[in-house]
Amino acid sequence: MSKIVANTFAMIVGLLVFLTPIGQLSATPSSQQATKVSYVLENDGQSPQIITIWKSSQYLAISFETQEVIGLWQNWNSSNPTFFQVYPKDGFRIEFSRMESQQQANLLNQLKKLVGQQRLLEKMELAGDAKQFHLSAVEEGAEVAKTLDSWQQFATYDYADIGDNEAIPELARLIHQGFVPNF
Amino acid sequence: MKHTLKLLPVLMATVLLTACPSDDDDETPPPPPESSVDWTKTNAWFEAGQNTVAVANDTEVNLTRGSAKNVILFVGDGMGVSTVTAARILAGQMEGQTGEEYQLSFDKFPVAGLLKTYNTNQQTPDSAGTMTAMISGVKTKAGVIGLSEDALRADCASGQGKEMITAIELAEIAGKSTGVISTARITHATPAATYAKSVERNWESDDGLSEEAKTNGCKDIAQQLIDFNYGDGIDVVLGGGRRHFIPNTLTDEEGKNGKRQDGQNLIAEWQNKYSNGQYVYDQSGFDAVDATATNKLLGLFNASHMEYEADRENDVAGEPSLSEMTEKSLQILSQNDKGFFLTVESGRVDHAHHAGNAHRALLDTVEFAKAVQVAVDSVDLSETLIVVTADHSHVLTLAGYPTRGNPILGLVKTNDSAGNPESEPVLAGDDMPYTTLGYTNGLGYANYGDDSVGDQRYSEPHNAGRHIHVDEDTEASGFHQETLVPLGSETHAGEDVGVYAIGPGAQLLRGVNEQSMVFHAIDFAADLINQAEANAVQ
Repeated sequence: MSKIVANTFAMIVGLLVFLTPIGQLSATPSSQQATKVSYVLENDGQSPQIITIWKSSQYLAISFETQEVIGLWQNWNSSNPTFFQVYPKDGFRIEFSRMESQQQANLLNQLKKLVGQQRLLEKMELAGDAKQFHLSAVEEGAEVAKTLDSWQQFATYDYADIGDNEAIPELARLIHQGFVPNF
Repeated sequence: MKHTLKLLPVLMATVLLTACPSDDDDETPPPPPESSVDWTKTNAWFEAGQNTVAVANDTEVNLTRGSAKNVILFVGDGMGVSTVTAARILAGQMEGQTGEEYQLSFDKFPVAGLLKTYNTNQQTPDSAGTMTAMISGVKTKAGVIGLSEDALRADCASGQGKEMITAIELAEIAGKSTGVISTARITHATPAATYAKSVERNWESDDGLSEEAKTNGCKDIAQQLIDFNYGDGIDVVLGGGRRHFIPNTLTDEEGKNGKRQDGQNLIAEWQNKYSNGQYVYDQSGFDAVDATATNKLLGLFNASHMEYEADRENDVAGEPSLSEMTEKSLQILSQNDKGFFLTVESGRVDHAHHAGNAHRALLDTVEFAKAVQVAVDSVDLSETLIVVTADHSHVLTLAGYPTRGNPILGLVKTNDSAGNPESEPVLAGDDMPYTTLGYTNGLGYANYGDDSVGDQRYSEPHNAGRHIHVDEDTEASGFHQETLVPLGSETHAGEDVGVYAIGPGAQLLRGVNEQSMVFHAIDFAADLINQAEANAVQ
């Protein structure tokens, strides 16, 4: 085998190694098919409030009318979703790396019941609770997908790393704003 | 010594412009790294450390330059003196003893001293500046990795020309084998300081780079690890942080997405670069590595940090412990007749403290001590210098007057007037009990019992002040100690940290030293600069 042929062969092998996904790594689906849904949440004895939900094959997110923070799950329909708190106003995300509290797990399960199927529920009552959800608006298309994708570009920090980033004042301030509430 | 320092620019130029010295003859020499390094710019900190060693060399007996063929640097991230004391008591109590008399592995070392940890711009430091001091011999700013204090944090252009050489780089040039282990992300500040130069510790992958950084050509930390070209490259790299090596369009083996926006799969690039290397991502893959047949090993066991030792059995794919990683690394590195340099970090002591969770911090410290013992049992101490220390402390305190053998994670039970232990917890002026361990600041009290997960405390607001009940289980993994000052995260502390050493040159770390002295003691013991010069000239 000539040197040139050998070098070409080595380059092709190298390129194939580079391009072949290793182990069990898998490609993430696009978030182009995205839906934004608003529900009116009626809670016995309290003023109704609007909750907004974003859904794509990869992401599921929720915001409450009274909070700036958005709760977002990546790979929400897998056995090991990743939870983020998203602060769109400040352009930060905080990742709960593999850590999910029972409260967050409960919230995700409730959201799956509400919007997790092919067809959105127009109305839902939480068993044992005097809480009702009424579908009020639906939006689909590129703008919704664009919003979801824009959050992925935010600077992301692990909760475990917050203590080592006290030099970032926005981050320190965000920590005191609380967390995503349950229904 | 000045002669040596002046030779370094020539040395580095020689190394960068010629084929890298390698013990792996069958590997294609990688291209030389791009560098604007001018080592003569290093600086008062460096020269002060070299002078301290020179003075010690005149007064100490049995101190011989170059007598350490091998060096192991253990760093407990955030493992201040109070953490060591509490972990020592816990380790003893876990073995059925009262605890206070117990000795952790490095408690038995013949030399101990103190290190002053401040950064050049902070009284209480961070890991980036402190590890740079220990591995490069030069103090620098908080948040800055591998650059002198002239660099401005997060300003790429300001760091160019301010690069410092590290002990790992010198060891590679000298022909030694090298390894970096951490239970944190391998791109996190402490491990990153061994191989990277970055004005911002958060530039772990390209998604974190600022526009100014991209414009001025600064590379992210993961990229720098893969591009590392001194000697034959770092031989063993084990830790977390897989997400910084794969594209954000890929989902890893544990269901987590990558971070990279440039589409690069740096794990595949590493495999391409080291065709005889092994990449592993879980416990079974790690266990299957034959150390006698491997000279390049990359293990990335988690998308982010590896699990706390207390939670390790719950990991999705399974992870090795710090002591297992240390043992395997030493088996691989010790095959080099020229010796090795290994850095081992227990990275999550710091994280548990930040969450106000002493239970997890102490269990990680106990595992760290086991890893040190593995090293002691694996090497010839007549030719191996082992240094154990911390980068900084935390605001953990041991307080009250608990009786001898009182559970270190428990409520304080004192002695009676005759000096015998009381049966019930003592009450404070507010008629409430209190724990021996507490934090000066942070998120404060919470108790999730034994079914908690690490970092769960961050999902609830801070809760400073007094909350503990007399019948509370304060020893549960999910118990978070009370605090005085409410903060979103408990902070580092500024007091000195301990340094413990054994082997040739250990005595250089006796007394109270600047943290940068760790490098200079290691350099003297292993003669890294001179050996690097000699090997580069050959």
